[in-house]
Formats: sequence, structure tokens, C-alpha cells
Amino acid sequence: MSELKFEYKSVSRFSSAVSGHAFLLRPKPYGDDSQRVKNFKIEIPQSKSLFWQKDSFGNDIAFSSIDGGHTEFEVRAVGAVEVVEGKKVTAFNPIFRYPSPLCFCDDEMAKFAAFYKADNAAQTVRNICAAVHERIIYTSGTTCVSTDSVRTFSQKSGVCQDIAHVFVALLRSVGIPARYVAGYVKGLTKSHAWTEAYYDGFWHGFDATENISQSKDYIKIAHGRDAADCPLNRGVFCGSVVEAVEIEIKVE
Amino acid sequence: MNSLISAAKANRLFWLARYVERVFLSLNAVKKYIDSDIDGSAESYKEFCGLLSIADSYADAKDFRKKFLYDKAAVSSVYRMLVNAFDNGIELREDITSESLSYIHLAMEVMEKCFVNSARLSDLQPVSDYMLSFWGSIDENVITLPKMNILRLGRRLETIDINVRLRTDWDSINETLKGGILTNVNMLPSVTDKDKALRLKELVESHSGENHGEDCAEIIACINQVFTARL
Amino acid sequence: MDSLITQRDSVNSWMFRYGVRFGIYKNGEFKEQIFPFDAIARKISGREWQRLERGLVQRVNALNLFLKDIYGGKKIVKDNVVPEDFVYSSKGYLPFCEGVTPSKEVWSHISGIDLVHGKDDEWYILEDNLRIPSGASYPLIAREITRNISPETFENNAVCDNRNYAQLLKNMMDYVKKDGINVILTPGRYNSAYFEHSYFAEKTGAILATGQDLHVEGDRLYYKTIGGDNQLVGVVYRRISDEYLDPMVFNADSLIGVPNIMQAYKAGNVAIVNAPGNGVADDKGIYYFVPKMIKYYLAEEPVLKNAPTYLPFYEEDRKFVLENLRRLVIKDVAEAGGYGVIFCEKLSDDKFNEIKNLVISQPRRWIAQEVVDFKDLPIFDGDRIVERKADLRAYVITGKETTVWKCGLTRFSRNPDSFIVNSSQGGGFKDTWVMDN
Repeated sequence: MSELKFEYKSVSRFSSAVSGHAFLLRPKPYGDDSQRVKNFKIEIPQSKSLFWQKDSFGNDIAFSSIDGGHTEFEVRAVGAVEVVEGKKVTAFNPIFRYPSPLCFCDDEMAKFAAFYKADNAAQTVRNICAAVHERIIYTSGTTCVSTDSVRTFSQKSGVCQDIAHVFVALLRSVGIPARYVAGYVKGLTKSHAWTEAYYDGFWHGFDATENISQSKDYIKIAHGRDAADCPLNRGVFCGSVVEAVEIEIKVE
Repeated sequence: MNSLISAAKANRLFWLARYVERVFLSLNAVKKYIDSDIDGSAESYKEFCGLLSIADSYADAKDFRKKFLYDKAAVSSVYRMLVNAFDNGIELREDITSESLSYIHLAMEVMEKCFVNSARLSDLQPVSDYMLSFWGSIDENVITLPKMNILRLGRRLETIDINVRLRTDWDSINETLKGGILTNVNMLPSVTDKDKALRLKELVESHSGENHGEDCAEIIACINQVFTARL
Repeated sequence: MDSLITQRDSVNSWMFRYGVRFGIYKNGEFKEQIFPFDAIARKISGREWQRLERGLVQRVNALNLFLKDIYGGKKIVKDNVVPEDFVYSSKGYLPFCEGVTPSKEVWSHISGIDLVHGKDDEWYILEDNLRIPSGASYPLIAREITRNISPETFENNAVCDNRNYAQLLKNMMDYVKKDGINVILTPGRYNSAYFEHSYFAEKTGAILATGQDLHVEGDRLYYKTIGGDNQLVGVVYRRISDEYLDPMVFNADSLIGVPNIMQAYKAGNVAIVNAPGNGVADDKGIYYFVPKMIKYYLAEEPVLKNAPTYLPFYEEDRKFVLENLRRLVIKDVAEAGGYGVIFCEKLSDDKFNEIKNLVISQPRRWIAQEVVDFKDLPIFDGDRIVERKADLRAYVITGKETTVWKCGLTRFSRNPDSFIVNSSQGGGFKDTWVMDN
């Protein structure tokens, strides 16, 4: 059993006051059999209240709105997760078999995936993970939050979200259910994205950006069919301003 | 019918009323001007423009008569006033009823036809008729008091604005305003600047036609501040 | 009907007077045009209507049960009646709505069911519209006008009054609503159906609001008024499609939606009409399964037939489709309205082979249908009477009960060769007279 502590801080600064600010966050680590959440605390100084619900994938969502004018919006979350070894997550939703708005394949991708198919699913997943890692070069600035897997695959570059998307799409095309995961990793100061594949009766985490399977250093925050299902934060506000966002994550 | 009003709706009601009234009063005013022009000088349109703060970009009296009515590009043409009334009205169907709105549709139709033929002023008489029908329909149909009050306020402020600019015989104006919306103007919830509203009432009641220039400027300034819905 | 026919032009001018328009975008520019009215009404006998009514109520009840099942236990999938592919690959399926039960368990409050009357005298269902079916305002106001300009027409014909539509809407909204007021949410005046939004607001006494007039505080929805008071909203009849409804959950760029409205909905504090996620049930692929749903949920035989439809997804059907493709219509299940409809009979050989290959490579994407030879209706073309294809959209309102509005939108195509009578592709409309006999 191992424990990871995390601190999340994000500060948005607006060039002039904004109002009617609504937000929705997924700030809390995912709680299931293999990962238990402890001592979670969140603070949003500008918001008087915070409401919680779960989305249909089981992610916790926190939302509220701030009516009055403000020039800063800050979210601080701290807590710890206990990674329970030997525990497997078996709960399965067939939706992860099917293409989704950001994770789908064209003919070329389907052929690519089929080429790496092995005798068993475990090997197929490892093969595809390595192939994706090799093909898609980690490059920032070549994609945006709504870039889909086909685009990333053809331009061969993207960030961890895009790499995870391509991996998910390829797995689904060879019949292995897969989902997108967002979270934090020890040693990284930004959020990360990886992939879970379902075979042998439970979910397995793989990080195609690093070409490794998920280690004890990973904290899973949320999952969905693709990134559009589980953004870690969204907000809208009134005002024509420039927004500068600083995010800092610490995991130990 | 509901009596709830959002800020955006309040604003539209107010400006709908002002533009409908402005169309009506402008057509009347230009009629009088043309009549007096029969015996006047070729430059007298300039004075008319001056009184109504219309930028004088016209070549001559003929050009003015046509463009003041029909110029689609000019902010101050009668055509544009009606379009503005229409733009506000179309988003208020459920507040003012389809019947009231229909008079604006009908006026637009006349306006469009006259625009195509650059018709004479007398052909625009149905537009004036429809504006009056609009007010008749507003009075006849069930419209909740808060909405009615905003419409009445807009209409009367416009009446004051245009008449004070045109130096209309003030006693007769005062007579129409008596007992109307202005009496309790500072009590209306939609009036955002109560002090300015009271000052306006005072100015209008005491205005006699002397000191015209000063009074006029202050009255118009007050009008523009009485009602500003926060959006 | 004679006096109505002699005055047919005046109907259109009365409609102009009331601003009965419908907006379209041409070359990126917004234009409003009138939806031309044809004075020769379509008549449906009382007896025929009874059968339609029974079939429509049955169908809509089954579709509501399907939606309840899909966003709940998915029994119909587990029992292999509907393959899960068609559920999870449907664009209209919203995972976010999983497990959310709308107020009073109604999903499709307003259903627009499109039918055609075949030359064999049989009515066929062409499409279900369970998201935001529009168009009811046109026959509604047309009747108001025609009764006024030609009372003798209605004295001499026993036509069921259709003017209860607003009352049906209002009763339904009052039935499903939570604490608070009734609101109709519009994208704004530049929406193609803005006339209808504002007309229904007037007729039902609901408040017409845009996204900017509404906001969510906590997990409740409010209407902002000028005095600064917030008025709690109990039901939203939204005329904004799912993907734009809530930028926090769906399309993040939406400026016309209401942030966090889905949370207020999920918390059970506001009813949304129609429920988000209904697209999974009016998908062209799911259409194939509706008769099966009726048997599955209601243990009844369907009263009304689908147009004969094949699903290339099933091998047997695929074989049949490929062999008979020339005489079939192919429809892309992802497209709505008259788009993505291909009449194979008219295709060039190249295009035909292209479609054939698409059916082989992406069988899930298509349905194939027999061309239903449907009846022509007489319309005026100038002073001449000509025959044109026409369909019928029936409106079914589900509140406490499921009720079919005794009227409907009969749309016809202007083009003599066209089978497509969608209002977004030109054409006009007629009144639909349900006879009281």
C-alpha cells in the first residue's frame, strides 16, 4: 500500500473584472477499489458556495457561480490517495467499446491497429502502446483541446491528451474497450492524460506518452470516453478580457 | 400574462415606445416643415436639422426630403427609426401581443414599398395611422402594468424630447402630460435615477418657453439618464 | 372550401401581418421568408384519424419507455432486441444523461412524427422527431386566419377545432414543472423558428428567454428580472439543441445555452422539455427498431407501419440491400431532416458504386428503404391546380396523458419530381383538417 499526497492550485487572472462567472470542476481524485481518496479539501476564495454531483462516469464534479465582479479566480485542492495494490477495477460499461466524438479511426488507423494485433489482448495493448509512442511525437502547440484522434494520427504530433486519444481509438478498433484518463503524476507540475484498456476482466492503465504501464506514481482524477467527457475545469463569464491561467500541481 | 421583466426586455420596451413615437412625431414634424417651406427659403431644412440634432449631410432641400424619409444608412431617417422600432418589437411579441406587433409589421410593409418608389410623404400616411393603431392596441390588450408603465414612460419622454427641441407651444404639451406617467415618474421601479426623474418632472412643469435653450438642454440630458436598464 | 379558395391570397397577407416567417441562411446571410400557405386543405376522416391517433399514441408511449430504459437499465439491449452498437454509436446518445430521470418520467413531451399516405392507402411512418420538432405554429395560426376570412367554409365542413394546441402545451408544462415559472428558451430572433418561439410564449403565457436571461445559482435555475429579483424557473421548454444547452457539459463554445443548467436538471430542480438525450431514440438507425419496441414494451402489435426498412448492419439485410440497391433509398443515420438521403435510382454508375462500397465498408452508418409511392395532393401553382408530394407531421403531446393534436403540418414540395418535403428545403404547407364524423 502506498500513499501519494497532492496539491493543486490554479489561478486565473483577468485583465479587468468579469461577472456572471459559472464554473464546473473535476477536482477530486477518482475513488474506487484500487484508489482511495483521503483528506480531500478544496478552497475557492471567490465563491461563496460549492455544489457536488457525480457525472455518469462516476467522476465527482463541483460547480457554482460567482455573480459579482472579480479579477481573480483561484482554486486550491489538497489531499492524498491510497493506491491499493492487488485490487482490480472490474466495473465495465460497454460504451467504451465504441468510437466517441474525439476518439475514432479512419481506414488508415484501423489498418495500423490491426497490424499490431497479437494473440492475446495484453500483448496487443503493449504493441499498440509502443507503436503510438513511436509515431506521435510529443509536441506542444500543434493541437488544441478539441483535436480528434484522426487529426493527431495523421500529423504525428500532439500532447499527452492527443496521444491518449489515438491510443484509445486504436484499441477500440481492434475490439479492446478503452477509456481516456486524466490525472496527476509524481514529478509533473501539469495534469497528465493516459489510457485504460479493458481485458482479462479488469481495467489496466497504460501511458503511451511514456510507453509504460501505469505505476504507483499516478493519481487518477477522472475518466470518460475521451477528454470532452471529463474536462478538469470549465468556466464561462461575461466580460471582454484577457485571461491568464497558472496551474501548479505537486505530487509526492 | 406574466409581469416579470428582464433588464433586456425592459430596455426593449422603453426603446420600442420611443421609436414608435419618434416615427409618428417625425412624420408630423416634417409635414409641417414642408408646408412652411412652400413660402420659405431653400435653406430652411437646415434649421429643421439643427433643432433635431440631425447631421446635415444633404445636398439640398430635395435631397433632404428624400433621405430624411428613406435613407437606410442614416441613423436619423424615418426609415431607420421604424426599423429600430421593429427590431425591438419583434422580440416582444409575447409582452405586447401579436396584434400590437402586427401594426409595426404593416408599417414596415408600407415603408418598404414607399422606399422602392421613393414615394411622396403623403403616401406614408398609413405609417402614421399604424403607429396610432399600435398605441390603441397597446391600450386595448391586456398588458401587465409594469410593462405598460415602461411603454408609457418611453412614449412620453419621446414626446417631451421632440417637442422641446421643436419649440412647440409648451402649454398644449403640458396639458397632454398632466395626469400622465410623468406625475409619479420617480415611483416607477424601472426608473433607475430617481433624482433625475424628479428634476425632469420639475423642469417640464415649470417650463414656459422662456429660457428655452437652457431648459431644453437640461431636459434632454435628464431624459437620457432617467431610464438606463442595467444589462 | 370555395370561398376560402377565392381568398387564398389574402391568407398569405394575413400571415405577413402577423409576422409569420421562417428564417433561413443563404450564403451566410440571414433572411426571413414566408412559409407559403396553400388553401386546399388536406382532409382526414374521423375514422382514419382514430386509427392514426391510436398508432401515434402507441408509438410515442413506446419511445418514451425506450428512453427510460436506455438511460436506465437497458433491458432492451440486454434482451438483444436493440444491438448496443445502435445505442452507443448514436450521436444523440448522451452519457451525461445516464441515470437521470426527468420529472414525471416523461422524456418526449412534444413528439413530431412524420408520416406519408401511400397510394395503397396505408400510412407509413417516415421519421420520429423527439428533440425539438417545430412547425406546429403554422397550421395553428393559419386556422385562426382562415376561420376569420372564410367562416362559411367552417360552417359547411365539420372540422375539429385545432386551437387547443397552446393549452395542450401549457397543461403539459404545468404537469411536469417543478417549483417556479414556465419559460421558453430561444436561441434568439435569428433562429429559423423564432416566430414560433415567441408565438407559443404569447399563447401559453410562458416567458420567452434567451440564455442570457437565465442563470443557475447553486443547483437551481433562475430568471433574472430588472428589479434584481431572481425568479425560480420550474420548467424550460427549450428550443436549443442538446449540444448547445449547457457549455459546461456539452459544446464549450456555446453562447446561447445556460451554464450548469444540466446540474439543476440532474438535481431535479427544473424540468426540461424535451428531455436532453432524446436523440438516441429518433436516430434513423433506431427507427428500424421502433416496431420491435412496441412489441417489447407494450406487448402490442404496431398499429402504424414503418416504411419497409433494411439494416445493412445485419448480414442478411446487407445482402438484400446490395442486390436491390438501385431501387432503394439510402439514408445516413447521422444526418437529420432531408439531408443525407440518397435515391439510388437516379445515381450515375460511379456514384452508385461509391455508395455501394460505403454500405459494405460502413454498414452501421446506413439504413436502406423502399421508396414509398405516396399520394399526391392538389396544390395551387398560380391559378392552376397541380399534384405534388406531401407528408404529414403529427404532433403528440405527452404530459399526464399522451394526446395527439387534432391537426398537423402538411408540407408539400414545390418541385414536381421531388419526394423531399422538408421545410428546410423549400416548399409550402397546408392546413390539415381532421373531420368530426
